[in-house]
Amino acid sequence: MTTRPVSVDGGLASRLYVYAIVPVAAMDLSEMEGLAGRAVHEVRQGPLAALVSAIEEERLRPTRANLSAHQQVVSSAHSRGPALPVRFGTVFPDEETLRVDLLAPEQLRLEAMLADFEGKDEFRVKCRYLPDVAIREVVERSPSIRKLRARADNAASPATRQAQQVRLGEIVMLELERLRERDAATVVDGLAPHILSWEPIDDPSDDVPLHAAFLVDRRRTRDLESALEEIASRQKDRMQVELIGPLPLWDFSHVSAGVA
Amino acid sequence: MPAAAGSVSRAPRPSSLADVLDLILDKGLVIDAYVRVSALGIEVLTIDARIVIASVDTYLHYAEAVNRLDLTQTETQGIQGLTNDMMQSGARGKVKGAIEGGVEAVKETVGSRRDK
Repeated sequence: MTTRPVSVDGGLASRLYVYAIVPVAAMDLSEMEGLAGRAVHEVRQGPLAALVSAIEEERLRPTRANLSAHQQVVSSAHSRGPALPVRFGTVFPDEETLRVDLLAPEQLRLEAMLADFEGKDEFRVKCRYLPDVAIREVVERSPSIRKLRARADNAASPATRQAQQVRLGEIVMLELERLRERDAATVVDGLAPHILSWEPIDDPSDDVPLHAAFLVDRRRTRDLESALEEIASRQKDRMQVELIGPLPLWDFSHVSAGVA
Repeated sequence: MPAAAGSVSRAPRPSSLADVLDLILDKGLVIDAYVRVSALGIEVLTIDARIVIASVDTYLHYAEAVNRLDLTQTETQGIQGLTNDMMQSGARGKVKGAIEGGVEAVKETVGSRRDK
């Protein structure tokens, strides 16, 4: 079935910047502002709609304003119902291509994703050690580290000393990694009963044992918050805990919609 | 037993540029051909493997941090400046820099795309 290309703005067929996929007619778009204040429209396909803006520019920069605008549209959509965030910078040459290459062939899959997203939020948790906590703890817990540290002062030659320092550093690094893993597991295990899944956002670094996205049934929000509060309270002398959310499901939309 | 209120810091909306970039630049549904064609001017490092190669310099860094800890001190004051390079909170990417900065090979290493 072919569709006659109808341009969104009623004039020239322009390129279409896509923000998100949502259920058709999910929200009033008259007040919504997209990139550089552009109007946001729907391109409809059955029960689905792509939220789009007409865009003429050849180059689209990831400026703060553009990223923010993209995020705002997705957040607004998410507040009205299920929304599939589309990656920043996705532009189709025209409306027909959007339908023919994405919305029509992928309709069932996109519908299934939206159905799956219904009633769910993303929350992000970031844990950060207070200053010195991690290194202090590994030293206190490890007799080998303390021993190596003491022995290094009495080394016979610079070369020997260096070798001992390298060995010491290696052990410290390993112990720090183990500490991070234990702490990350503590947090994730504590939240596990209240989440559907989770994804790491960053690799752990020396002072951040956990930075992760959690997929949550909206009805379990209070349970999640309480569980995290419990954990944070127990950890408050060694770790600060930050919670961001509810958010659109940015970290759980990484399925590719293929163009063959 | 309810925990004391307020141990979790809440930030319902990302506010800084770093947060916004982190939040969405590489997130969301990928529509294969069109991201490549249309994401003009965006250099997004789509790095899958994260390899951090530890070197002698890396280990010496950690050894130094430990050596300079005053274990007789129960408070943390006086240690700040010495371990700050590695443990400074709030300096995004700086801790990774402590690991990666010492060695050329590691500087070029495939690192997390979320470093700045």
